[in-house]
Amino acid sequence: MKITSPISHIDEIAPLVAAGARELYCGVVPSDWVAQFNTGAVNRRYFGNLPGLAELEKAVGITHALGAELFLVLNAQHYGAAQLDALVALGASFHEMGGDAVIVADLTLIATLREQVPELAIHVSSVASCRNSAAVGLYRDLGVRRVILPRDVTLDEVEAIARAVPQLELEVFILNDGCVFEEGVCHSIHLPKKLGGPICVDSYGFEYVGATGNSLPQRAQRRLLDNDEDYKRWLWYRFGCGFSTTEEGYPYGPCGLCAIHRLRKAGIASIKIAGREGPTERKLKSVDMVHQVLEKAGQGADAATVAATAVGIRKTLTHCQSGYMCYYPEVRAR
Amino acid sequence: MKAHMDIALAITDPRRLARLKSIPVLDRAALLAFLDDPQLSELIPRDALATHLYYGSEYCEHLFPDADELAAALKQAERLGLTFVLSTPIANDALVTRIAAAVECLPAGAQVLVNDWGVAQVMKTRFAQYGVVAGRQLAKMVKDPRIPAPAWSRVYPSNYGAASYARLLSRFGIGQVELDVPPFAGAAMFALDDLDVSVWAPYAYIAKGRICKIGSLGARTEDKFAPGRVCNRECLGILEREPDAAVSSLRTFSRGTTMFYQHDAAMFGVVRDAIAQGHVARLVLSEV
Repeated sequence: MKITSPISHIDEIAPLVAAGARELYCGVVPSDWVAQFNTGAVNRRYFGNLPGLAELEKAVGITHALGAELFLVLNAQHYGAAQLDALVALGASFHEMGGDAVIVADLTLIATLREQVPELAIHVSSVASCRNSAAVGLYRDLGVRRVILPRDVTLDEVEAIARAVPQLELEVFILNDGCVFEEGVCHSIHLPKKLGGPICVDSYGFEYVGATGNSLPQRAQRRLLDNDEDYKRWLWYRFGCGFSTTEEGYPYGPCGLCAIHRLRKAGIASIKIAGREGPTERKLKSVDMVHQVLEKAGQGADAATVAATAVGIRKTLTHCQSGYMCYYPEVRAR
Repeated sequence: MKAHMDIALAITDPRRLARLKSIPVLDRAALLAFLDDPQLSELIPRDALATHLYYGSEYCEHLFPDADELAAALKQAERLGLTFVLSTPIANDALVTRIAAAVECLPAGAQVLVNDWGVAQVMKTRFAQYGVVAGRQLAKMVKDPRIPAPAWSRVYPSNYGAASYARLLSRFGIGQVELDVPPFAGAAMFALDDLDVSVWAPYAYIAKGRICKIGSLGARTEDKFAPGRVCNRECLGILEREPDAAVSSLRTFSRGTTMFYQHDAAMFGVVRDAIAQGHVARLVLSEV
């Protein structure tokens, strides 16, 4: 099982590979894209991209020299008709550079790339919201190499898909950057803070009402407000615990480290660290954490020992026991 | 130019379905009374009769009907002379199995509304005799109610108007796509050459998740806000709403896993114009 790490600058490649990442993923904004399409959004993130194709080609060379693979994200939920040709050309360029795979969510783009650049490996992005075997089988039949499952899947669901479609590689989330909604079906934009920021944490002053618009009894209102307080705590965890870290710099936030034992047994090909836009140190410490736990699992440790290793890295049992910091809470420390 | 527009009523709540029993004919007056939104009178033709009943959930595996609920819905559709459309969400394997079992109960002529490519594939390979429509989660567009100007929608252009998208849908036997009205829409956005278009009114969904705040109400604190947990369908009895449109100009709601906004007067005008120009094959009316 490999570690997949984001990069946003070529200087990050060597230290991340040294820390244990064997797969890296990046975005790029080609120099003519903004002029041609009046948007810098080539992929899901407006920021955290390499500045051009020359840098991308350097990134491929550096990554390969270190024995790792580099993937390019073309993972916006949707692209307009005018952009599809440019994206196919970008995918073809990446392939000519020696790039290892593109990460794509838009099924139209996947089908088009398979037709026009058949040698280019495709990973289906988590933004495709693919979480059943029938969908994974569809992508297999289209000739993709890997499917990245979305956040908020259970380990039972992961294992069921792995059993049902063993011919295809699966990748799952392991650390960082939770999303409140399903990323593939959130049609909002992460606006600048002065315009509200992400919609999931914008300042909506909702009131609770009953099915017919009626007011709810006081007791129900109190329960709902208590639940809201729990939800706010969950949001804090989901957004990386305020992007806080331990003294050693290990990041808090959405985490699946305790599940590594089960994920290895299920034959998962790769585990994904999210956060292309994050600082380099956060990425390095993230890879370091995952590598430590993966090494322990690779030594044949049982599930409990692997989980104990995971929890022991940040030494903050209360966060782990809360249940709110876990990608796979069914195996959390109790 | 569409000569005849279907009119559909979409229901998720079994209790709302039960209210249909007292309605002898689902005509314009009955639709307006059921939905209790006078502004919809702008959109429903004077002599209209509903043609379709949508039942199920596009947003949540827990709201997908069980066998009894489905049977009740099919009975109402038959009594009212409506074509039945089974609404389905993004699904895990267990739900795909339930969906397949439900489809096996559908009468000839029924349709399935899909929001998941896996479910679309199952329909194609196992149930090709039923019509399939592509749901709003497969027709992507920017629907952030807070965007201050049309240019923000072009950050991520929509895909549903592309010829390649229609070709993709045709691989699944799909010739109809369901659309919301996004901010700053014009009637022309519904004029597609290669696909029939359904338009939903008067609510558009903004975002949906798998983590449900209200569905965690009955759970232990440490077990809340996680996928795959049992819920009591609290969302059918409790809604979050803005008292007035405050964050944006579009009044926003949250029901269960999903955020919605309500059409404003301009959006009603867009739908009215799109209908008048013959772009709308089906008008789908729902509550939030």
